[in-house]
Amino acid sequence: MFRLSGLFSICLAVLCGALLFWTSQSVQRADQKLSQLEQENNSEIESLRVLSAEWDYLNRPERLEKLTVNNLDMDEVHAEGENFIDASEDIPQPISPIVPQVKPEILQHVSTKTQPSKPAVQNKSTVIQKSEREDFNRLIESFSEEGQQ
Amino acid sequence: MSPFHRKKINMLGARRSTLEQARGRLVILSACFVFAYVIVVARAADLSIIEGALKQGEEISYYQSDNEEEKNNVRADIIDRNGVILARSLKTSSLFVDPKLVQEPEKMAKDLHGIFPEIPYGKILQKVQSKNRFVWIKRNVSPEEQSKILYLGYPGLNFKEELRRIYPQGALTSHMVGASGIDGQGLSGVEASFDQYLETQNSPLQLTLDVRLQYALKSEISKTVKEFGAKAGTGIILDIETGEILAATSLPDFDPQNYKNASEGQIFNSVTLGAYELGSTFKIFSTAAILEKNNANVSQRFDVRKPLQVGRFKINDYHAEKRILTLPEVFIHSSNIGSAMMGQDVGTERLQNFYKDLGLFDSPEFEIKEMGKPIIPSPWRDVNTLTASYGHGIAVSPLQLVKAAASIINGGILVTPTLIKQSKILKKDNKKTQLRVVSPETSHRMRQLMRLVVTEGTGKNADVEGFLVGGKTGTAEKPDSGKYSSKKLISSFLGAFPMDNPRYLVFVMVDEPHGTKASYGYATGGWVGTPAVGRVISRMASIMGLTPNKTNEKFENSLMKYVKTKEQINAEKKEQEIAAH
Repeated sequence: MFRLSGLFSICLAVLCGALLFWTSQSVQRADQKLSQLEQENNSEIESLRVLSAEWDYLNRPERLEKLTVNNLDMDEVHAEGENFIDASEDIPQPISPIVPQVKPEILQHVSTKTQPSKPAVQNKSTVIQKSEREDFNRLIESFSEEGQQ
Repeated sequence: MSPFHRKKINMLGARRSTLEQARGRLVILSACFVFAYVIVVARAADLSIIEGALKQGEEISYYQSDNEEEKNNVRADIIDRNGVILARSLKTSSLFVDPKLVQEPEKMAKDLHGIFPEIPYGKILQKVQSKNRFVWIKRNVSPEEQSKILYLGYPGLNFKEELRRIYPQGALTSHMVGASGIDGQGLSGVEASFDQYLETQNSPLQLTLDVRLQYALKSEISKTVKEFGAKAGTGIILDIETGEILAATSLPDFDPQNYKNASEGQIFNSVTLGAYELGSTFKIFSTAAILEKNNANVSQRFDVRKPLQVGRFKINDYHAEKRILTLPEVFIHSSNIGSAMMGQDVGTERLQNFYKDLGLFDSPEFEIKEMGKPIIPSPWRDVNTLTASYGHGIAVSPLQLVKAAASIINGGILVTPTLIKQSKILKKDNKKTQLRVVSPETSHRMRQLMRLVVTEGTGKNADVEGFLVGGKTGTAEKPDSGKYSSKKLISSFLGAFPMDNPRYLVFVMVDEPHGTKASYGYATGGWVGTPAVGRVISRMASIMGLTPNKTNEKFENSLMKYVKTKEQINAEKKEQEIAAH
């Protein structure tokens, strides 16, 4: 009886030891994984901190002004110019869409066939000069060339 | 036969039980030893084989290990009102040496000098041969320099992870944000005054500044300083309603990244630290004082035909009208004689108390440490009452001037300028402690008078159509070797808009401008500060999306009956001449 109980105790101790060892290993692996993830997370956070600081550095008003002057055909907006309206009352009110209260019983047939499109009537002031268009295309091309480099 | 053979020994009684007990103990002890050895072997296998295999591929840190607490203690960011980063701490590497571990100091010094040519070879050699166990070679090295050092592979060289303060906006907000030292401690501006907060808090410190407005203000002042060959320039944009400083610039400025190389002139913050005799902009206060005394009555007249003689002092007008002027005319033509008479009428004690209430006698409560004290005449004589009425003999900072002027035109409630963006809850609490300095009637009259300066007087260049700009020009002579110099001027313009309900105040001051061909040799506030303010307001409108109002004529014309036009003055002169003949 004593021998059996002794054997059982030893087996139990060995089993507990093995279980403890396995648990310890699992905990260590999990801990390692956690610290690795934390490290990656910290690294990502630091990268984001650097990137957002860089973003604000690149968006300095001074730099944006220089880039606009050098690369875009844009003028400064002056409060006294024609760009500004005379009074806030002159701002058109947004038109709300007209929704019928009752759903129409018969829906009108809508043709899915493509209609020959009419040429758009161009206002003289909105017609872009050929030279201007060429300049703009050249600019776009130069951007894409820069991107390929 | 073994005497210990169990079967052969048949002992009886107490002797037998003692032997069996001893045997059992020996077995248990042996088992314990075996078990301990098994644990040691298992642990050795775990450390050498299992953990070794697990750690394969893990990155080796080149940094000296720091406390976790120290690593997390990142100095808080400083951001503008829109969340744009003004100051941020980023991790960088710093190189140090443990000279005890250095084997070839000369060779190491030579190689390090190759990587850091800006540090002399001798200096590096001195460091690597030092008796200390920790000597900095270079703080904040670049990743490229770091990789070169790692490639050299010298023992004794090590890196420490440090935090470096970065200012993405550069010099743009340098005087308000300030700068910090190499160890991150604040040296000036908000960096110094909120040092403790920035060190301990994780949330960013939000300022009231708007970098877009700051740039507009700075570039316009910079342009003006250049155009008039001036020594320095100062500018402030204030939200009159909340007291928030939207932009504040002091030129020349400095690069906060390179604070130690900035000159004293660059570091000097003229917005808060300077004390200037600001000239005619002070007429806002003397006029408000007389309106307050006379229940906002504007019909009072002042005889400014002759200079005002007080003892040995003689007060003259810069733009002499040489006729009897109404109160609005004194204000719009910026008559020193008329303003001195107003001061006389108000009285010394009343004027002093009024200036005190406006905060002109004490340095204002503000969130940065660089605050100057105003220069007040001591003892205050009667003549000081007259000169203080047109901004001479009393020197205050531009921030004090802006605070006092905003308090008068915002309806009469004292404004407290602030640089720190507060939550809406705090703002509500602040409204409880409102302090009235002038009546709403006086405030309304002052708005009208300031609008008249722009439509009819010396501030015409500041007008921006649709924004009802009002203001007051100021031209003060600077004291030079005991006298006022007519060649060294402080020219300024204090503008506000829209004057029917002022929301923003723009102040521009230029130190020692020189007249140009375009300004017909003039360097007064009307020629120097006024156009700059006009341009700033124009840019503000588009940046902030402000809506113009070109229809409010009622507000502008109500005081016109007190102002004579040129045609009226000429007609009167002709009549007088005919009557004399």
